[in-house]
Amino acid sequence: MTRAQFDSLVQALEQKFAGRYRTLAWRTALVAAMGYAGFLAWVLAIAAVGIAAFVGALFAPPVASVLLIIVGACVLAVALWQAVEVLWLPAPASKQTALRREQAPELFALLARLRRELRMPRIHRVLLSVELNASIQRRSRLGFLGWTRNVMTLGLPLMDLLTPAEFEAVAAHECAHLSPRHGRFAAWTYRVRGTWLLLVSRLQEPPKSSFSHTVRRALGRFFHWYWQRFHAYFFVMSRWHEYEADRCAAEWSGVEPAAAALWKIDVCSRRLDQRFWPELWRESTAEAQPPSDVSRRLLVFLAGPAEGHDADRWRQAAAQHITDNSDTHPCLSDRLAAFGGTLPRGEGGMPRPPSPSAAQAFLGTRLDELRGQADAVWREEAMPAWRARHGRAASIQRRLRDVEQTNSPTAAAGAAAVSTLWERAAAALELDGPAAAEPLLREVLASRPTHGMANLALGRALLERGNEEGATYLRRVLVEPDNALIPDACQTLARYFQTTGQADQMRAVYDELSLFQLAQSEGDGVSARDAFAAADLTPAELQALQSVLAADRQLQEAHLARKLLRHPSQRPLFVLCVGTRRGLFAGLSAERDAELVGRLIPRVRLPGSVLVISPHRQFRALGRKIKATPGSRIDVSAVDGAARPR
Amino acid sequence: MPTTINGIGTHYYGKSNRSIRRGAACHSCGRVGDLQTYDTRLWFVVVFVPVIPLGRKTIIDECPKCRRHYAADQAKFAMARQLSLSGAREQFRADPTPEMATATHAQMVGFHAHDDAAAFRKEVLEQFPDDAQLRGALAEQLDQAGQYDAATPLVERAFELNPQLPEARNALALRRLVDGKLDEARALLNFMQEPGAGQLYPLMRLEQLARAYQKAGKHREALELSQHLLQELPDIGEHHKFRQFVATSEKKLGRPESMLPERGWSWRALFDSRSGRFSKGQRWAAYLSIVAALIVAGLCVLNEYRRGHRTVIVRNEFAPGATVTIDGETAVPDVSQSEIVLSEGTHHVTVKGAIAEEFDVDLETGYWQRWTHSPAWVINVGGAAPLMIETLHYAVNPRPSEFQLVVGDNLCFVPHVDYLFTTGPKRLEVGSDSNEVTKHQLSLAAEPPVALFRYALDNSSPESAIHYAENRLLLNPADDDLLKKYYTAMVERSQLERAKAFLKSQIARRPVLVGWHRMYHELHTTTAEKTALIADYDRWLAAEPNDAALLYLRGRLDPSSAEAQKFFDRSIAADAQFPWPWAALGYRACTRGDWKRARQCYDEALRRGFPEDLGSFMMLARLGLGEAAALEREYQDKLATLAPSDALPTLMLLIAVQGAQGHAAAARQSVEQWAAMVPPGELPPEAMTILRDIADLNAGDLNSVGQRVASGVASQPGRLVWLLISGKADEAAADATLANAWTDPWKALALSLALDLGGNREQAAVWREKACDALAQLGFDEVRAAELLRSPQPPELADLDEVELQPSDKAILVAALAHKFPAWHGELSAIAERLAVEPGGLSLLVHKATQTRPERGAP
Repeated sequence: MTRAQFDSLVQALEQKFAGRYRTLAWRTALVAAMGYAGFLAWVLAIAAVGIAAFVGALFAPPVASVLLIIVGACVLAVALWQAVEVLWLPAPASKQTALRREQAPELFALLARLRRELRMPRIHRVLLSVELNASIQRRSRLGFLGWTRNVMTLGLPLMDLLTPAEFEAVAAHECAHLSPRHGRFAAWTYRVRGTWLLLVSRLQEPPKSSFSHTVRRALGRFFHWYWQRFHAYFFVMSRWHEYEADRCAAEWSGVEPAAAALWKIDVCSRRLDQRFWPELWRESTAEAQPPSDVSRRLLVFLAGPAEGHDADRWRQAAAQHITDNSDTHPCLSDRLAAFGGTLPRGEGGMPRPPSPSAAQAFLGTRLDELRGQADAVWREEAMPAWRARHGRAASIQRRLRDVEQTNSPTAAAGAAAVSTLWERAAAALELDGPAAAEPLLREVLASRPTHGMANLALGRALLERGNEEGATYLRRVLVEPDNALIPDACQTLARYFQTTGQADQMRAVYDELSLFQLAQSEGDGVSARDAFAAADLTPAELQALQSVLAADRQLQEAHLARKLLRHPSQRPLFVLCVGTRRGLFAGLSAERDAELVGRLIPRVRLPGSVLVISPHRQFRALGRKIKATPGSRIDVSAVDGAARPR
Repeated sequence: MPTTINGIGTHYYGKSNRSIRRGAACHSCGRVGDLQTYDTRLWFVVVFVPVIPLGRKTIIDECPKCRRHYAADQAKFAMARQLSLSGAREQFRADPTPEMATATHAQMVGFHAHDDAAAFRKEVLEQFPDDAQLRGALAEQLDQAGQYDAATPLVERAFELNPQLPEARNALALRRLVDGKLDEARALLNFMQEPGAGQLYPLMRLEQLARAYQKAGKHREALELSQHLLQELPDIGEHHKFRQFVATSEKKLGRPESMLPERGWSWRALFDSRSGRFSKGQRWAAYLSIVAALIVAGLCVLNEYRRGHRTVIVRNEFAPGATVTIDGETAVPDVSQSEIVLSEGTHHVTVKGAIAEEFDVDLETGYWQRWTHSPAWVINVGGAAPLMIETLHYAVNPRPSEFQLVVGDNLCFVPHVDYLFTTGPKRLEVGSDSNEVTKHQLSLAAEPPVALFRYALDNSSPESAIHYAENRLLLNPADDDLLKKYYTAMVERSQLERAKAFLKSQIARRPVLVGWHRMYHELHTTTAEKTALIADYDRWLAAEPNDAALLYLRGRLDPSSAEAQKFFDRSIAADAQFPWPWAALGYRACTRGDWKRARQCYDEALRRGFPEDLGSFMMLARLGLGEAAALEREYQDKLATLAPSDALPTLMLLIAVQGAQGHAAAARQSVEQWAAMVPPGELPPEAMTILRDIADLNAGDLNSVGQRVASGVASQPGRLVWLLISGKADEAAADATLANAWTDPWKALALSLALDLGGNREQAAVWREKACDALAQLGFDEVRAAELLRSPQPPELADLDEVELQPSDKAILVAALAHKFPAWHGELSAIAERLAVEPGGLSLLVHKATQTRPERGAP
């Protein structure tokens, strides 16, 4: 399913269930149940065979009954394996330490109040993180089999940034996701989706054996069909939940604190994502260990001023950001509008941590201790990636040194120079960030404007800074035929247009992406069902082809057509249908034609992919279609007025 | 992969466009060899003959060792190859950069277009002669495709151009590794041994090097590289192969502490092939353990199910007359055969109705046998169903089947039955000439009850056999053959009281079972018993005065000949078609030697459907009437129609009438002819001796019998008669082997007569007295006979008429009286001669006695 198809499905569901949330919730639950049913039908079908063998054993003669038991056990083991493979998908364990009631009595009192008022189930664990975010999850310990527990994760930076009232709005929003306001099956549906996500990711891994390959072939089609639909239903329901949770937050804390919380989170998330975190991780180039005070650094960073026009840009992005179907969370303006909130007016600049902050209010005197705990957890979790980055940086630097020693600017020329330049640019991009890499990227593109990676990297770097010039480089990628970077370029462009509120441009890019996805398999093959047109070769290309064809004495006729492809950037695909003189026996003609095809394949050069065929056997229908295409006939009788050798 | 079973399945035929990757590793078995790629056609084959084409295929990288390969539709593969290669070439033409050249070459190698790839390499290397990176990349692709020879010059040139190029160093290190120059390879791979190298380069070659070091016994170097791998790729520490590798080297170096990280247990990882934490063997062991657990669980469930659900067959020959309940609650359907399900253990069976009995059945088998055996339990109500357990042997030259007859037992248990109340096949596939397959069959015996009873008496428990006979008689009281055999068996086993009680159980039954009453009468031998019986009949007749059967039976008990005649007449009057009184009248005539009257009465009885065989009496009557020649023809005709096993009674009659005519040779010939027809082994030798003696005695050939007696091969009856007739009565009396014979009063009387004839009057008197004593213990007629023998007065002829005895016995009696009363010798001898029409046997003694006139006054 392409992006456009998914968007259409979501739109259709939104229209169908507009104002009928209960129906949507029931339907989503039904679709979720259908997934269970589909899988259970599969497992039960296998198990039924095993059980039938067991039951048969009860009535069979002695030796046959023992054999039936063995067969039944093997089949049941397969069913069990299938069930475990799919149902036993425990969520990855978290290393985070749960917050204890005595550590934050005010926070737990708030949660108790929320639980009581919102009639939500118990929260089993409260975790602290260093994210500017809060979330609540129903984690299943046994995948589809259930045994869930509710885990709330609160970001310390979030608590630092928000006032107590604003934080209460955020907490109420998260708790609303577990409350009955979302319907009886909402939590279950979330859990099922989480498990499906794990399952889908598992199915995308390459199969380990021919048996699992066969099983996947059997189940894959159902999973693919089902997952897209379930995901669409879930998406629509989930988005409704976000609006509903926002309303709950506004009811709990008031419209203004709720709106302020959303705005602060949106703006500061952009700031952290584009400035704090990239710079922090860049330290891994020099530092072998991650810092032990990340939350304090975050606090200092949030309290500090933003650089240049960044603050305006992020504020503007928060206001202009438009909703799309990449995220179940709607954009800020839509969320505010849904519960009657407005963007905060007043001074410019970035939101700063208030006093008292929610962290101070709810974590009290234990704040520093808890901050230390959260930092330690982050440090432990970040350690492998940090070390990997550190090692990679060292390796890149070493390699860069080698490259520069070997390919000195004078020694390297032409293609080698571009290669060296790109290697340096890529290293700079990774080690020092986009700003440092920009001159090198421009240098690469000056030497080779079609360099896909350089175009993508430079375009992305420029757009992140709000420089529209970046779109020009990304569009260069889009026109390259069969470029594997097109999806990345589309996503970057679409994100930029979404942030800047350019809805039409964003949709156009997504359409482009869908077209590319649809066209992906088009170039892989040709059949008589495809549409064809005349080849439209340039005179020089045609003459070159005629020369090649005329050189073969056996060739009697030739037709050339071009497959009509959906995506304009697709590499052209030509079909050349050739034949020798018709003999008395069709079999001999086919043999001669096959030999002719064999001779022509390495010699024919056309501006795209070429399939040379003779109109026999499996290409009979295709050959007829090529011949019937207007303007497909190639005159091979004379080339440049010279007589064809006979 | 194509597969055939016994030549049937799928198979590739034909090979074209073959290309070979030399020295490449198989993707399946991992062995290095020449992998083939070719076009072929897949066929459905029968006995390897291609029958149905299933499509053209391109076989990719077929391993010469394990034959595994990739298979693609030939047309689709060819199309994809053309399109990809032409597209890649075109792309390179449009963008002739080293990167594009690398991508194009990769496409060609990927599609096994090795010739195209070689040409393309030549072209691009001319275009970029000094691009070390391009050469390194191309060499890497060739290495992956197993084309080491083609890659080596590229590698060497790339290294020459740029000694720091990782691709070149990597490829060169592989070559040093293959050559065994491990330290050189390590030096080339130094860039991989820097901290953080794992984030930029695949460290596979380093792992290969470590393994090569280990193989070469350089464990320190192997561990150094392993330590680096562990630092760069921490997850590798979880992988079982890596752990095994490190552990081996650590063990060799004797390192007490391992560099490997601690690893926790994970059930999921055990079953998850992606985890890599356990070896394939361990994973399979885990899978097999589950399968084994399921098998064990299944077998336990099966065992328990079988223990609790044993099918028991209830064979109720009395249904619907008798009802069966198990454990007081489970009612068994009132049909002759039904199946019920019971758990193993002891169950109480209650039978009510036509037969009443209670017994316990114990259903039990061994624990292991529940999986391997098909036992059968048959609850046999009254033991009345004859069950046959047969062991059938199937082989090229099979042994005869063995069988066991089970009758009279309430429960029949067979540990394993293949054919339960079904017949096993005549033929069975046994595999090879030397194989023997044994099957067990449980079925109902089809032979007549009397035959089964006879067999059971001889071959199994007599008690069970008698139980069987009694219940079969209850089922079918009209089975006179069985009744007679039962009576005989009971008499032989001296179980008279039991027989009396059993017969009595049906005496009051109406309509009257004449056969049962007659046997019942026979069991009442004493006068007192018979008197009591007469009283019973009088009582019954008072209730049913016109019951012909009761009148007849009453008549045959009456001691008075005149009274008996009245009852017989009343019986005839009550039911003109009732045959029994006619037979009784015939018998009375026989006992008086009135053969004409006897013949008339027997004819009347037969006309009325007399159910029993009158052969011997009719023979006596007709012999008495001089119809021996006619009888001989009739018997000979009848004998010709009978099977040897059924012909013995007729043969006896035949040799009797032949003997009566003095045809000794004919009688012997009849015996020999019959013996020749009997299947070998079925006729015991002593039976033949008896028959020969009887034939000779019947014909009066005493010499032949005497010769056999002299040579010690004569039968006991033959010897007894010969001794008595040959004047050797003293010897006979003293012979211990004949002692049993003298318990028969008539034989004792005959001995007395023979002693008398031999002049030993003293002993004759002793034996006569013994005979009288024995006769006095029997019925009315025997008592009367004893009285006549003891009487000092000669008998009146009317007295003799009152004594109704078998003609042969009565002839002995009269002959003895003739010798006791010499004055009456002539008259009595005439009567004795008239009665002694039966040839042979004691009739010879009677003839001798009648021909020897005793001295007056004696004894």
